Amino acid sequence: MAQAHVLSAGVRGGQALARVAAGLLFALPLAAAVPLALHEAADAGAWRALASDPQTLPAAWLALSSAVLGTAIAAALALWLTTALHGSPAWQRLSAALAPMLALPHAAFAIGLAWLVAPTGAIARALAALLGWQAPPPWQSVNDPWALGLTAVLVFKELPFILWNMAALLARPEVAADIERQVAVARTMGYDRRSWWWRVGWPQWSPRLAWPLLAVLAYALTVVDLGLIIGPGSPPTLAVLAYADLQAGSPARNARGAAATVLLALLLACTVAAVAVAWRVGAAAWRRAATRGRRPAPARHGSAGAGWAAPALQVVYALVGVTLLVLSVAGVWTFPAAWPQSLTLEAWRQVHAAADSVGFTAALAASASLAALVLTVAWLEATPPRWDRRASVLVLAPLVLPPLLLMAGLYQGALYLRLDGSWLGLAWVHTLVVLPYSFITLQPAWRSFDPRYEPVALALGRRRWAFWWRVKWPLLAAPLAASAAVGFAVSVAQFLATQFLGAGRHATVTTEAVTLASGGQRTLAAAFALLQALLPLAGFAAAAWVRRRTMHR
Amino acid sequence: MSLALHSVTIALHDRVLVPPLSATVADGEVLVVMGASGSGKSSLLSYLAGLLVPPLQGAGRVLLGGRDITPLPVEQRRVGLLFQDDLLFPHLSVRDNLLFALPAGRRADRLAAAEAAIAEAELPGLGDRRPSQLSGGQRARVSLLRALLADPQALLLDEPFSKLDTALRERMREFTWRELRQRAVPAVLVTHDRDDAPAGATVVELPPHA
Repeated sequence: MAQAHVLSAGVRGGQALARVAAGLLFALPLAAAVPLALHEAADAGAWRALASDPQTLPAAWLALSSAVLGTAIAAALALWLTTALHGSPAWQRLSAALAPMLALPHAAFAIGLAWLVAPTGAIARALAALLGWQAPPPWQSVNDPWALGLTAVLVFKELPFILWNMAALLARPEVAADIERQVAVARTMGYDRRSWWWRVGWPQWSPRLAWPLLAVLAYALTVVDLGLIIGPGSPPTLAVLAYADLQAGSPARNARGAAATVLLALLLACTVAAVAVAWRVGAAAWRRAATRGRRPAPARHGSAGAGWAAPALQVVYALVGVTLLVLSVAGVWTFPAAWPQSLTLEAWRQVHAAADSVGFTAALAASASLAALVLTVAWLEATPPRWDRRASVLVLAPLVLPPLLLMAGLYQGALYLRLDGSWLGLAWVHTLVVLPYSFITLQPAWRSFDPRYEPVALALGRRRWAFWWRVKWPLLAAPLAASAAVGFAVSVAQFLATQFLGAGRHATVTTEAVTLASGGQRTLAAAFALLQALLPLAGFAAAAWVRRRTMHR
Repeated sequence: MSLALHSVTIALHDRVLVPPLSATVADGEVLVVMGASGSGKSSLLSYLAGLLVPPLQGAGRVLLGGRDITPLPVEQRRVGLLFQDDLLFPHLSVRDNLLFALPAGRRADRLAAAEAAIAEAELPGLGDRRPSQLSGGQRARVSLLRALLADPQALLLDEPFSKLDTALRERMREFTWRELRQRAVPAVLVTHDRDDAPAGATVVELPPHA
């Protein structure tokens, strides 16, 4: 550490402060949440009630099947697309198209897709025009008893997320260089690029995708808002049952809900264990097959499928967006009509009347992303880079814990502290949820900042805060803005955090959209879903503006 | 299986990096191409292997045992390539790295061939080690043998000794030339170090660029 002598004693105090702040505001609540949730579930009566409820088993099966299928299909598609497209211009185009897909919240996507595939929806109407149908087809395409609609939403929403993680991993300079040279060596031995990926590439890099995949699985298993919008009705998924119980007024039902939440966490743990065992067993067999020496037949052309799959994904997202837009202004719209008989701004008038919830959403998201940004910057400024590994384990925890379990526990904690239903409690839990994303997005830029600028500035006689304020933060304005925008988007999309900590007293565009959609009010739900998408997009647009400005300097 | 180059040139945009080069390399012999960094000597190897990508442009014919391989894709040329770095696959054991290169066949035969190569690399009993558990010299030897086990009809060497320390470098040179002679594989070596050239090799110097 060349600049070690420049660091004053104040730095040690700063490090202690960063540790205390991280502990009190972040680690302690997280560490307390799990035992609190377990404590509520530690009730034999609750487990008996859960076991005797005939809905429990099918509901658990629906949750497990939709989560595992959704995650597995999305992961398989991501592997296939990456294998076929990486290293080509199509891969660059796909990578660039991911951000807007990620910005569209899950609930908004589900509301749009639900209407797209519903028996009275856009696809049915298009088919009706072609085939002369006069009545809606007898489809069970929304709230289907097999949770296929829910699975489809999970596949479409998680595929961009997994691809984005892959793109970030494969774009790292050391990884990218390794891939190209390893491919060159394999090709001179007679293996084409694709067989390199399956034989050597994925076995090397796919373990690094374990964390994002675990986060996807944990989310999918306990997702409530998607279950309410597009999931099955009777029985719903176990997460929806647990949520209803946890929100109910009776302590007995609360306890049963907590037990169901713990059951979901156990299902997650069992699934992870099963995958880990399968990986162990499968890896040896895979390695054996990969080193058998068999070269692929020359001139196989199979990337054509992947070539259209990527644009198809964009088309699905565009259709969902257009659907929400049309739906939000649709008046009378009888079945076979391809276009509404009348257009109305009634839904938007009601949104305008509910402007409070829009302002509240934005204020909450801005506060949470700002607080998370301040905490992250404080951590990064006060601690040496070698602490980041320890921090990242902590930071990843809220991403891989089942959200329902985490929120149920945090709500219990808020009850003890009498913060339930308060603005402070709500903002603090939103900050907790946002913080991992702030850290993940800011840390690489912060740590790659040239450390020599600081001694240079100090040697010029400037104080450290002047260096931060005048040199470092302006230079890092683009990643700071990007991190804030991601945090803002994450907060806007929160459903469980707002419902639990808000104790029903605070509504955001997301909770409004989910409530309206599950209540069948499609037009108004579409308007709120659009807002849910527009707020994060405004944030990302602001971040892009900051980046352009700083680039021109 | 001799390797023949007919007027092979490399250009970047309109600038000629490698002027027309013609040469014939007999089995077990080495053509040494000397040049400073940026002289296009690595691009020459990329062209011979079929790996040259725009904006670099190559021209001229490459014949292997009299057969014109210029129109063939990399995978079908049977021209091996060795870089400065060993590029052993880090998640595979030494044995699996060698098995990956060996042509398909009976498992017992392939395992025997891999074991023979492990012995030849002076790594008895280390077949199960990961590349990261080997020394630099050990890795370089495994890397060379891996390239040769794929049964190439010519081998291209891109400064393969430059990252080894001086004592190792001399040993690795001897090891390399001995293996190439034994297997009767023609080779092209590009380097900026005249000492890399084996005795009696044909040496071509590329012109320096501004």
